[in-house]
Amino acid sequence: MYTKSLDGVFMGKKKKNVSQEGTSRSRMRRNRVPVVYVDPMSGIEYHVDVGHLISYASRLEGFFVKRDVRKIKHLYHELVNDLIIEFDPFKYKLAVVAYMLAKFLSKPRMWSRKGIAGYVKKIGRAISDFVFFAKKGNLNRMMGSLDKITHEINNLDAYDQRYVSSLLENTYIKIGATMYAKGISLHTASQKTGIPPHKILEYIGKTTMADRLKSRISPRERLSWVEDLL
Amino acid sequence: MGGSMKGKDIICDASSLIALTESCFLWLLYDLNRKHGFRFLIPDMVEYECIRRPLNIKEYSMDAIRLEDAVNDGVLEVIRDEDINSEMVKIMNFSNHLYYARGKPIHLVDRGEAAMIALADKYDIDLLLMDERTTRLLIEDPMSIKKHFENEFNVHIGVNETSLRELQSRLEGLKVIRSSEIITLGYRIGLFNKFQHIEKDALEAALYRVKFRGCSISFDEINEILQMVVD
Repeated sequence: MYTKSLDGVFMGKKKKNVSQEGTSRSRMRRNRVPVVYVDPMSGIEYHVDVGHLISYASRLEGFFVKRDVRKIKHLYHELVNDLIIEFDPFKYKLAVVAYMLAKFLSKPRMWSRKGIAGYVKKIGRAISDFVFFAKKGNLNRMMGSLDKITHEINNLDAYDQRYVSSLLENTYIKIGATMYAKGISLHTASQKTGIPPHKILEYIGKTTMADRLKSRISPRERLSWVEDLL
Repeated sequence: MGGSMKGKDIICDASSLIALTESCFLWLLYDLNRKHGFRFLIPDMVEYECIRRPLNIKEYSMDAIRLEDAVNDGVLEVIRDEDINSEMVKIMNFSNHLYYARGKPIHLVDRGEAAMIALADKYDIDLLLMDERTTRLLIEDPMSIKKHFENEFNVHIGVNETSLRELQSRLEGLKVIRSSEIITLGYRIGLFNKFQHIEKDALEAALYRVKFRGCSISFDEINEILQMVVD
């Protein structure tokens, strides 16, 4: 059986106290060293800070248990900032999960749905699994757990679907647009998230992003440059 | 690249082409090309972003077909020049090692933007059509990106002075216009006359349309343009 430690962090199978403490310390040391992960789709090599991921996922698990939408949203923004500084596919999927969970938890109608408890249990269990496999350094199973969470939330969303595009697709767009709004280029945001620039532009066009960072050059000056070509 | 008409060449980014196509204002590029001799050039990376890639996405394939049609009509010219690759890589390296947060370089620009700058450098073209904000700021005011990152991340952003110098030497003299300037130019030279007595309304609607399609123009700038055309 799986157990939880006092601080709510998933510890794996129950062992004797002494050995459990020792194993935990050595794992923590090991987790601080970045692990190389090669994305099977793109072939790109990433240096994954597993310790950091464990910290994020453990916090997410705690906030999910407490249904704390505000803190999950805050965690999502932390993840996106971190993605801009150092991108890796695990952090990206964790950001996707955080955003989807925040959306799911903030829809009261979802809670009256029949069988919701089962979904919640599966999602909570998958987050615990992610932390468990992260502590073991099993990258493939970590990715599997993240995929499972997004799959479960998407299933919930499909039941309640009111738009053509799914919550998962909208989440990818939201992250791509947020990364672009925070300062990286459109192509970079598109490349990293796999979202076409069209979708990012469409999303960002309805925000006040262009109004927040003023340009030193007036439209009149820009117009004069192109009028000079006539 | 074909016949030399450097004086009327504009290198286009996917962001502007997407905004103009989705707003149904691609005809402005046709008119500027056919009536005024403008040449709109795109690196093959930009062609990939706004034509080849979206051709496989149902939602955007019609836009991609319109742009492909503009390529076939000679309004857009795709530049396939492998000689720019090494310069493109250098530009990417300098741009992506320009700002540091927590000791790590921030990956700022990608191949599409770097290819545009490399192409401008090689063919000595100084006008870029770009609705995208980050690369425009990198060209016009790189320190504003540093300030923006510091506000967003709440951490100190380090600047690699060598990268900054190298980049500035390559970006010097580049001028960026947006789809909003193409629309305003179209209005000023009478291409909106077909809207007859509602041409000013059409200009305003067109500017808002491209803004909502992702053109990085503020509400204040739209008002400034509208005021300018009244004057």
